[in-house]
Amino acid sequence: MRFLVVDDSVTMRRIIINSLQRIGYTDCVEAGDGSEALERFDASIDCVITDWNMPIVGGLEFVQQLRQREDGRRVPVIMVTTRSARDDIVAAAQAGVNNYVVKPFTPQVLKEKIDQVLAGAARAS
Amino acid sequence: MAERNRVPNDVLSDSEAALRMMDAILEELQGGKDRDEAALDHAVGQVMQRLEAVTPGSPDLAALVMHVYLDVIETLRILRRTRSALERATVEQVQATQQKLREVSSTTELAATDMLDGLDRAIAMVDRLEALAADRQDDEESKNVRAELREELYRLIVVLQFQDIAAQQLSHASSVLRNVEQRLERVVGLLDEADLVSSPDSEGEAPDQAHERTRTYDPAASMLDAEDRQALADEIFTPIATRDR
Repeated sequence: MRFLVVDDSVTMRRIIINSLQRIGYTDCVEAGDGSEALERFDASIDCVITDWNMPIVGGLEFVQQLRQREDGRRVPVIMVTTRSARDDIVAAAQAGVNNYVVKPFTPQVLKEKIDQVLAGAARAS
Repeated sequence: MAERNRVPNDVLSDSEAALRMMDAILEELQGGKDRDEAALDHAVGQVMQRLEAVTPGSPDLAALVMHVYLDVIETLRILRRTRSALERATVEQVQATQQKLREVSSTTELAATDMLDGLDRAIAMVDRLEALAADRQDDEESKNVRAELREELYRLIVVLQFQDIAAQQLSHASSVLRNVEQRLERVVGLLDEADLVSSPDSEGEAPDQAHERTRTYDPAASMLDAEDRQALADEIFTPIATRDR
């Protein structure tokens, strides 16, 4: 299982990757913003975890662009962000995000959301 | 009839002369931003003499023009003091505060990285302890302590999320200060005669609107009530996350 972790904060990327390792996912690719993530993404990625507020290409725009690509149309995307206004959460859902984790998060919550989207993806395939 | 018109015509002519003179003096004052108080007092004396010369038959008009002139001088003095105070606030205080915020943000990020490095090393040490213990059939108590230590180290890693959230809060504070700085600069600009005519920049969008589209932080970022906020996200996302795609 390969993850693409997108966040402009090095600290957050390390925390997310550490949390993934704790729950058994050790294969991670990193990107510092949406533009870099679009370059790093390929068919080998099984799940994307992305922040919202980032320079160059933000999280929402990244997901919208990813969903327009043939290889990114169905990949599960989890947004991990501080943004928690109802309008923001709805906008993320409309952009094609599959699950939403509010910062600060616990590894348990992250695991629960990953399990949900991977189960949904498994049922669909 | 001609006799009756003479006095108003004289007053009109004297007024025009006085206004032309005022105009020249104001221009002179605007050009001499660093003119000191003594020089201004000297200028007031000169104005008084010139007023007496151009309005010999109209002492009331001379007094009125002098009164207006002194008001203008005082207003200019106040504006200069205000401008100088605003410049000090903009350049020295706001920028220094922004620099401090950047420093705090950078320092906490470096500290968080150091802590993460240290925690990674500590977890590696727990791994080594477990490897050593496996060779010598360690007791249950030691095993439990190592497991608790590992959990504690993981918990500390998660706690370091505060740095990302604090950095966003500092970015927001810095952005508010930048906005105040830009607005102060506009006010200072308005106090310069050259900027009284609105420039394309001053007619443009407000600084905060321009920044809104490019910001890389959440102004509402918070460590508080994470569970409640997650519950709202779950309410919207659970049906999406659990359905087949």
